[in-house]
Amino acid sequence: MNENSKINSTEVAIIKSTISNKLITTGIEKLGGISAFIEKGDQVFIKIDLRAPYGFPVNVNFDSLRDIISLCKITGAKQILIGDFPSNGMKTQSIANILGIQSYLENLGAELLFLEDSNIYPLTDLEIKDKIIKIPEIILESDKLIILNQVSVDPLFKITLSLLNSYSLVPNKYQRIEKLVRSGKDYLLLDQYKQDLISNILDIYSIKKPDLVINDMSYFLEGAGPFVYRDSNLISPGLSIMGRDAVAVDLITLKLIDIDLLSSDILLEAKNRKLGVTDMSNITIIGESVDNINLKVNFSIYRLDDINIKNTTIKAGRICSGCFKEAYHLLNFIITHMPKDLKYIKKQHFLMGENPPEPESSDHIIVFGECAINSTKDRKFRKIRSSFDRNYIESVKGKIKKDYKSQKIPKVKEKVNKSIIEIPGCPPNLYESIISIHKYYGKSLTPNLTFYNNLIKTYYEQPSKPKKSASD
Amino acid sequence: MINDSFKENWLKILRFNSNVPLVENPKELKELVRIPFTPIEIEAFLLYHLFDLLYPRFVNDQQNILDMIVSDFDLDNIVFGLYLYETTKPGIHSAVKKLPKDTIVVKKEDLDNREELFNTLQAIILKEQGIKISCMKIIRKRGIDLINSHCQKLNKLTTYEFVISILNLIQISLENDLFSIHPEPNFLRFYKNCIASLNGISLSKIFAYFGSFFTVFNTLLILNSRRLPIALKLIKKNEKSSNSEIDIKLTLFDGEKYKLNSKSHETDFKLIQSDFKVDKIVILNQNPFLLFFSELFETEIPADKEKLKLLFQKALYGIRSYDLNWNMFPKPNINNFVLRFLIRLFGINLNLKKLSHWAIPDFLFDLGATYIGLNANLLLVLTDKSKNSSKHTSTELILFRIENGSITKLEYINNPELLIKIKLKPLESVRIVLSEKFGFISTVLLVDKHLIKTILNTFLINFHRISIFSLLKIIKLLKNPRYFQLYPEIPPYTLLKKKRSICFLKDLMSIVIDKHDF
Repeated sequence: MNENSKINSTEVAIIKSTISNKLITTGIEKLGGISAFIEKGDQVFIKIDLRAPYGFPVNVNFDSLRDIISLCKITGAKQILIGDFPSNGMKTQSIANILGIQSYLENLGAELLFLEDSNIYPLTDLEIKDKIIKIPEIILESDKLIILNQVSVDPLFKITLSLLNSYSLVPNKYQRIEKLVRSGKDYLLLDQYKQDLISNILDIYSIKKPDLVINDMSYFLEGAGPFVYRDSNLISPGLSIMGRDAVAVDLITLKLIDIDLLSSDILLEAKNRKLGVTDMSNITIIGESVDNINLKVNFSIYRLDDINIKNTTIKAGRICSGCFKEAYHLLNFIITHMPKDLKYIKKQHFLMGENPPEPESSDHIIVFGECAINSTKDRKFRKIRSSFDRNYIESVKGKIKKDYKSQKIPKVKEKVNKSIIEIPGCPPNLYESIISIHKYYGKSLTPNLTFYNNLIKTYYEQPSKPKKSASD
Repeated sequence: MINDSFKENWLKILRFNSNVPLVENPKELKELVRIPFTPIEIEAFLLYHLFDLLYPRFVNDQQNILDMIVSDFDLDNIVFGLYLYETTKPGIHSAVKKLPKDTIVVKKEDLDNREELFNTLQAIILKEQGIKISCMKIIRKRGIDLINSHCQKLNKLTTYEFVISILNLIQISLENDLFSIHPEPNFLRFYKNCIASLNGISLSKIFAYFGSFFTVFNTLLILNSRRLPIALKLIKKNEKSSNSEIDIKLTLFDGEKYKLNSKSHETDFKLIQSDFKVDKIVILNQNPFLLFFSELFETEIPADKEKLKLLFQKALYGIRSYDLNWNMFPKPNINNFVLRFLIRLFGINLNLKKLSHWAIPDFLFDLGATYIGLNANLLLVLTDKSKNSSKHTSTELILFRIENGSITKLEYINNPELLIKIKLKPLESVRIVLSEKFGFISTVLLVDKHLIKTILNTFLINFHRISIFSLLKIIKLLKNPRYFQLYPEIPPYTLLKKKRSICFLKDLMSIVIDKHDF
């Protein structure tokens, strides 16, 4: 905690303006000015999201980031560092090159850190609940931590909260949820994946609590997100919610879109752990009143069967949040980037989760995730039954005599159904799923996917060894 | 009040129009008139037909029009003149009646509520003249002055200069509300909004820029219909000068003579070519062409992403429907069955009639939304690196503001200080400098005039010669930093640069052309 803090930790500012560059400065001004957060000579680490090498609003609003950097500079911050561990094992360097942000940030007086390079930014071991988590020393050593979070819809947590943003303060390896089945507990029924994920997020959040948290909602991606998909729609609520306490800021952000504490698993857990202020009466709202902001947004779907994809039937069994999230992204990718391929493929089935229903036919079956693969090993669709009869005499008789019926029972041969794409992983990796699907269908059936597969190869490095799924 | 030459021509048109119903075969009346506001002389019957065809579709499909000339200043009655056109057919102006200007008293503020003003005028004219007007045009005195000054110099202007002058006239009139129609037709609202979104970029400059790309052409454009086909002959002679002379001739086309709509015979293109002395002939079916424009004018500006996709789809469908909705002579190479088959043996699918009109817009829009973003500031740097002198480079900067996937605003950057700051700097520095003033610029795109010229020549002027070689040439130019640069380099461009041109073309063709050809 900042000892010189001039504000109460339960203050949250809500700023509404159509001029987006006023949101950050006005909000900070309302919270007592930047000097309430940053002191002269401070090393400031600004945590942004670098999810993928995509355009706005997938990562961060660079105009908002510019405003924060300028404010830090005005206060006399010694060093302003920007960084994140990108998702899906992407490298910061790839994203920085594609977005061209390194020189942009340098010109503003900040430095983009390539945190994956542990030679330059060594990691420190921290033991949290019998787990060793490594976090870059530079983040821990920074005097101040600011979280700038672009809010969009999220398939698991409704919206991308600042607590989720803080999760990528540690390398991907430590974000990965290993499947750990507790004795006597049903992993899928309890959605242990999500529970473990929430626990992990809060563990990492508690390592170093931010000094300033900004939920940037000058623009909000609704419908499908947080990546840009066919069903995505960008609205401009012109809002910014900020404060010192990430839990309180997230609570208010959810409140603005009519979601209360009880509907948010992560905030409930944060409340249990007493990680922040979750009692509305202890939060002083500055600026706009929550009740005055009547923001209606379209959230992303919460049942995968609701996704309507041409020529594709989706069958889900019991599924955990891990597979749900990855399948959500894969299916949205298919809708967005494979319209022509879907026309050529004609019919495909997408099975996921434990014990998914049997597909109607045995053509082109995508079996997604370890649970689906393991629970469908003995299913009908794995074999193709074909009857054949090479008794030419009988068949000629059948043609000559009108009422002739052969007494012989046709032979039935069972073959392994090769029209199945198994996508392993618990949960599977999005990019590797795309590569597997492309490998199965080939170039001729999937012109769109061939193009995107080549595109992804320009920035995504496949791991040299396929990742083995966690213990089953 | 109005220019004499304009007035004389207009009265001639009215006289002709009033004679048309009285004559058995008005086509035979060989009278020549000028298209209003232009120096282009055409048969009066053709102009009559054009009004008959276009006016009800794009302006107003009801009868009787009132023109009102008003002052720019706040007077007790700003009306300078009232002209009533009683039209027997919508759009056919055949008789004009000057009404006393005190027929109605109009204050400057009355113009703010045009609906009310129109209703009042309609009631007065119905009462006094017994005619119900369906539309009123309001022309401000300054608009008349501009028309006069435009018309005065018409005789001295070349076609190129005339186009520049009329574009300026249109832009000034619409920007300053010097000319308006009530009820406002879609086309006018569309133009007004387009001009507003150009944000000061002059139409004449755009015309001059793109006009300079077209070198020599001698083309006959036939707008075909069973009723009355129209031929538009376009000639540009001098290749060396960028604003060399263009010749425009608009005539009626004898469809029967050239077997244009014959089911039993093929159109005699050779005869058309020799009679009209043209190199190329393009035949467009009037109806789908006009329908497309009707739909285009209905579009709100800035256009919604989905609407843009739909229009793009329709335009592509139009191109795809070769032989059905359009035709050309010489016939396009890619329409040749044997040639297509041979190309296909190399794995490239090139077939105009299989153009994937349904998939291309989605592909391009989704690609842009993913890698450029739903909201973006895209800076277009247009250069003109003349081949002979590497030192001489003229640069134009245009900023495209994109919101939720569609362009909402254009900004022409001509601040001399900024231009000096970024002169001869790499795109990375250009982006940094301009981001300070215009907000974060996500992508800077440098395109040289030579590339645009090559693209336009390939797909427009020499469409009949399009081949894999011309497409490969474009890909090669896109790879050459002299003609095309992108900063930061987004993955689609990295892919284009990394892949062999032929492989890239193969992959691209499988997306833009549907399979199942042979």
